[in-house]
Amino acid sequence: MTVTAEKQRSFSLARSRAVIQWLAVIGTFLIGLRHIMPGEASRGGSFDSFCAFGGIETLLPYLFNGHVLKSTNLLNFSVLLGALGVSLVAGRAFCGWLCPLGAVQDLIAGWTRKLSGEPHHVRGRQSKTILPLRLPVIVDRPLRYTKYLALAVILIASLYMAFPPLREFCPVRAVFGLHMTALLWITLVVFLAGSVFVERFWCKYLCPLGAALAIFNKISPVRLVMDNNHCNNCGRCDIECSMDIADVPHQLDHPECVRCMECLETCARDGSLELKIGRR
Amino acid sequence: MKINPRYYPAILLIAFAVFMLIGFFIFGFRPQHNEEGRGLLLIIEALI
Repeated sequence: MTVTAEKQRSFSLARSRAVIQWLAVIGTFLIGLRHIMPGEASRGGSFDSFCAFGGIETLLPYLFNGHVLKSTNLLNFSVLLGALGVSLVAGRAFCGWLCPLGAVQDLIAGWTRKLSGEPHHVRGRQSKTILPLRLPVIVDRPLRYTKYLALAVILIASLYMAFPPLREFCPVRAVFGLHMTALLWITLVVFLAGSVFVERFWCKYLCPLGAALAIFNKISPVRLVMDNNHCNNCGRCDIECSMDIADVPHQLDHPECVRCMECLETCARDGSLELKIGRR
Repeated sequence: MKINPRYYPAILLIAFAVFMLIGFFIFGFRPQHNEEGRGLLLIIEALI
């Protein structure tokens, strides 16, 4: 094997993703920590103002009423632009790579597998553990639309509210905010329990930001392409898909895909899945 | 055009940083002490 080929093999997308996700988690935790420090109010910018979804929540009040909602500020739009930029380039990759909540859910799923009796997960092999569950299609499919409904309700509610509508139920505040209320404690319990039972529970069923970014999977230029001549439909990628997309090789532009690239990492046949730019 | 997967993380990080900085510096979407900022509105008003 040549040195280049060896270097090529030593690179791991999964490892790179884990590093970026840990940085997102630590960064968000530090933002939360900063906001329980004395004198935080005088520095400008609440914890909420670092949230990409805060930009969506405060967008309509800003456009129609000329002001942002309380606890948000213009920084929300910059962070939202960052998330939209990633989505314009690579679809819902923000969810799969940069969202701290997605990272926490991936961590919980990993720990759940370990505690359920699978200390070392073998990539591409069906897990024998009970948890995390894969909900039956008849339950799973309608639940997936909940996040779109949540997005619509939040957008409408944002026009009539002083604070962001999701604020009291926001899992990011519950996990990282360090300013807990009774509602946030309930949110935290539901989020943690949901993530133990279903992998990426929040992303699949409830995340309104994911709902807003889903459309970009259809138009983003950087995407995976399947080569029919190489893929033998072995199903290894289906097993590794954290969003439980069925028949991954034929659903590479699926709105539920978070572009985590676990399918590409798992694929054992060179050339079956390739990362490309452009529609051809 | 095929992309080497090793560049994928860098593509994401650069896209995030560039677009966020565009918002921050070009559109003026940055924290305001009184939380009543008018970044984009100011630019639109200036253009019109």
